[in-house]
Amino acid sequence: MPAWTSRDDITEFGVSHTESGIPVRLSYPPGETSPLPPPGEFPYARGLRADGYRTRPWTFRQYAGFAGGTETNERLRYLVANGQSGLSIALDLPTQMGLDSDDPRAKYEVGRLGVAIDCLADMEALYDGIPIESISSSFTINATALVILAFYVAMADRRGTPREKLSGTVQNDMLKEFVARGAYMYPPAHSVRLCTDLIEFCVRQLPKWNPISIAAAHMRSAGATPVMSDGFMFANAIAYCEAVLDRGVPFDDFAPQLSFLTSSYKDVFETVARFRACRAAWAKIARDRFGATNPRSMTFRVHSGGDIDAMTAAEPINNVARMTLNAFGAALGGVQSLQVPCYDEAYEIPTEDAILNALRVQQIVAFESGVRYTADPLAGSYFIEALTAEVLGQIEAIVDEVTSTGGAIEWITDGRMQAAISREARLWEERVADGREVRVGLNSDKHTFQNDQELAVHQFDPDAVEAQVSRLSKHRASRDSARTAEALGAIADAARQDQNVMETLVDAAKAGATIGEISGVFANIFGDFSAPTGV
Amino acid sequence: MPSAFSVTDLQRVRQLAEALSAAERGGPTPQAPRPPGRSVVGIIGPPGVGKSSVISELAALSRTRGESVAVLAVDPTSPLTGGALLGDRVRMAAHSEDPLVFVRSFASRGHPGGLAAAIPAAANAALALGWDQVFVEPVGGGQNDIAIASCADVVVLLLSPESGDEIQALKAGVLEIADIIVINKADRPGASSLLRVLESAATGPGRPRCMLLSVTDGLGIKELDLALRTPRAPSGRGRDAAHLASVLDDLVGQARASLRAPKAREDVLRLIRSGQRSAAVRRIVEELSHG
Amino acid sequence: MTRVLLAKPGLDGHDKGIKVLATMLRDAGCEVIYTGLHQTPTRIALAALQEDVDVVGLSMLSGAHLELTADVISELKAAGLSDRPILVGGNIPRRDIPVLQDMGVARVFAAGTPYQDIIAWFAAVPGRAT
Repeated sequence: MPAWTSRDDITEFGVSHTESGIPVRLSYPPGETSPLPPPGEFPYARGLRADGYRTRPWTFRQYAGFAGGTETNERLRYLVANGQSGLSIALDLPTQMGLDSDDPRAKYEVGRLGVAIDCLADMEALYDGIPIESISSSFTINATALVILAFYVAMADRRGTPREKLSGTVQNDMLKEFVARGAYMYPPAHSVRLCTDLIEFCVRQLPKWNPISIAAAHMRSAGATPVMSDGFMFANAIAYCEAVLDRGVPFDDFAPQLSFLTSSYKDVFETVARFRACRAAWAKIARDRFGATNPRSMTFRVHSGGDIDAMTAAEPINNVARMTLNAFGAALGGVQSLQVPCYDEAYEIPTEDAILNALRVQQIVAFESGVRYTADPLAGSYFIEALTAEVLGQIEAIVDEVTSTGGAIEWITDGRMQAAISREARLWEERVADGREVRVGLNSDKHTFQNDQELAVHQFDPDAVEAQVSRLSKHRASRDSARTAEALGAIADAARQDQNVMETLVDAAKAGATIGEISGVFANIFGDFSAPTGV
Repeated sequence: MPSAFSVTDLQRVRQLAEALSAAERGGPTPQAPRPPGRSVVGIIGPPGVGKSSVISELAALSRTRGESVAVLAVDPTSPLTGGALLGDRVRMAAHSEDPLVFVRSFASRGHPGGLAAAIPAAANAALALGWDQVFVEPVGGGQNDIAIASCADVVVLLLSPESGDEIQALKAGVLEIADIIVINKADRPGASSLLRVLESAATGPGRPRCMLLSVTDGLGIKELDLALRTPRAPSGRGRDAAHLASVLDDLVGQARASLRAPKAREDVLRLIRSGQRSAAVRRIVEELSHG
Repeated sequence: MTRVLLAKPGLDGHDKGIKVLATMLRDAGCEVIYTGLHQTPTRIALAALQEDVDVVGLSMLSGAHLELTADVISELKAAGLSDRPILVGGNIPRRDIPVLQDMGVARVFAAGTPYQDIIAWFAAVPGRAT
């Protein structure tokens, strides 16, 4: 039997067991756990900062809904003109999968879920008039993160913007793609190697860039319990750290640039315990496994993403209550950055009103609830302290199990991680289907639910695709193709010789290479991959 | 949109698809004398050892020679629900747009021995319909599943360097029916020492050939391909036993099927409940001979 | 014994729903072939033909369901499989349901449909290879 719990263990959620299946007692006596060191001190369970949120609250981060194509640049300029200091760029699926807009496999998906970036010229059009030395950019991009970053750096070089001034984030967490989000191309070990190239490049050249956001949230969305997703997140983090260490980069040189993504969920108490336990788990991994001496290498900097799965299409106004609890749990847990889901997100791309409402929910929690009085306000609660210890024990058990039986890459290559998550997904859906997973207004009230909300999906704009494809074909015709071919050859050489490929990618970007051509070079060398499904 | 496939290829695929479904129904299937140089290759081994990947690599080599390939993969049927999840296709993704690499997933449907009842007829039908190379991948993990030897011309046992402990558990039968023993993932530690153990154990006439393979490094796959194409006298080792076991498996499969009749099933269960096991066996035999 | 092919056409990688469905269909006594992510209409049709399945289920959450479904239907027709019923599930707006049905889709299950309803529909498809 594994040393962690399952949804299978739950008798009654919210009464006898937490969301991850941890049994809860009627009451907790004093004296079972020893007091934790204060906030700002190792192992940081009680918070990264001694002053909690007194100086400033967490970062409120909400998506700005994005159009595709040329409208996007206008939208970015509008946001910058209105004082937004960070941009969040959604890219379409072909760009995420390394396919050019004219690739037959990209048919129907160009520009649908975000903007298409085929080459440096597209990136320059997107950022026309945007001051990249003062505006940070966040890209939700993984398999092609290093190509997108290469385009961005090439743009900066051509503008004369010093690389060290660039700030932003690429998600760049490939391992969770194999188990949860599915945007992968090459086998896991090669994918991690490319993630590593990007991290090493940023450590050496882009000190203000977050080169990876190691994510649990997508694994929980795919079915894992919250605690299981946290355990796998750390197992994945260890795989990345080992890969970067293999490059000869000391742990204390890159660890301060690592960031994490795990979310606040409906179970407020478990959420608080999880964020506390995650901080302690990471601090101990950094110090004891990797020998960190710099305190900044031991800090678990975390963004809590929006729990869209909690939103119901039925009676959407109820979602505002869920969002409030979600934000309150995250704040009590001491996160650095927070996105709450939008009340209409179960059935459409959030409207402007819904996005504003989500921001307001965050502000109400931050400024009207008193959650900022003191660091780690729930500390000393017998229940919270016991739950924190239990969650930490489970996370450490999962990490031990994975790392002692081959490590995350092997678990993903042979499908063990997928199988564990799929099993929990099935249990989750069964619980929703038979009403054990209570969803007020959906499966627990008296009247029959009729979904009268129309689902909105991204419309396909054939004209925009045609324009994008025609730009691309003009680009191919006008570039110096001998120079492009030479640059692509240099990428292949670096990839084969296990050298860091990033600089060759920046050169190729300047030589007019496309995202599909660059990804094709890697595909030829690394081969393609179909991840085990886990079922 | 226009189809990606030629009409001729689609016809060939459809013909085989229908023949295999006929085999599953127990109906008549195309049969012909086995053409020279064509063979049915059985690939066995513990789960996770890389059977599908090796078949995928061998299929790629066959395709470069212009040969057509049929892969018949068996997954277990749940004895409780009768359902099955057939997952081998995912591991053959490299050929998923090539109509002449034909992959069919079979559910064992209660047939013992790691095969489906339809497999022997299906493999023969594929050869009779002109498919050049047939691979059979039984349910993984059977330690005593030697039925494959009764329908395959060549049996390849795939092991990994970590299989050292499993060798003890492998019943002699599985080792005895293997014509070729391959240590896959040979880039990992322990491969050479396992090879020495196997080579020293395999002595005498008809002993299996032992070799190393690493799909990721491309090591040994051409040698395995050549070994499969090199005619060799049937070793006979364990083959008679395998044929006998296979016939007995058929008998068990038929017995199980005959008990789908509610009357027979109830009779047998009543006898078992009252402790008359021998009478229960006789009742099944009676049902079989009438059915 | 109903043989079911479950597939995700296109580039969308969200497969929690289709994997849960696959295990539930197995437990309902079906033989289920799940092809994994990123399938082209060509691959799906070839899989349906080689596996000689009784029914094809497609799951799409990227919004490209109209175009991708039309291509799958066209490829299935070229493979001579026009007689196999097709089911579509995922993020399907209600206004697209009649459009899909006009193309020849036998049944559309939009997001939020209880799994029991989907299982019951599959289980009612007669098996051919038994």
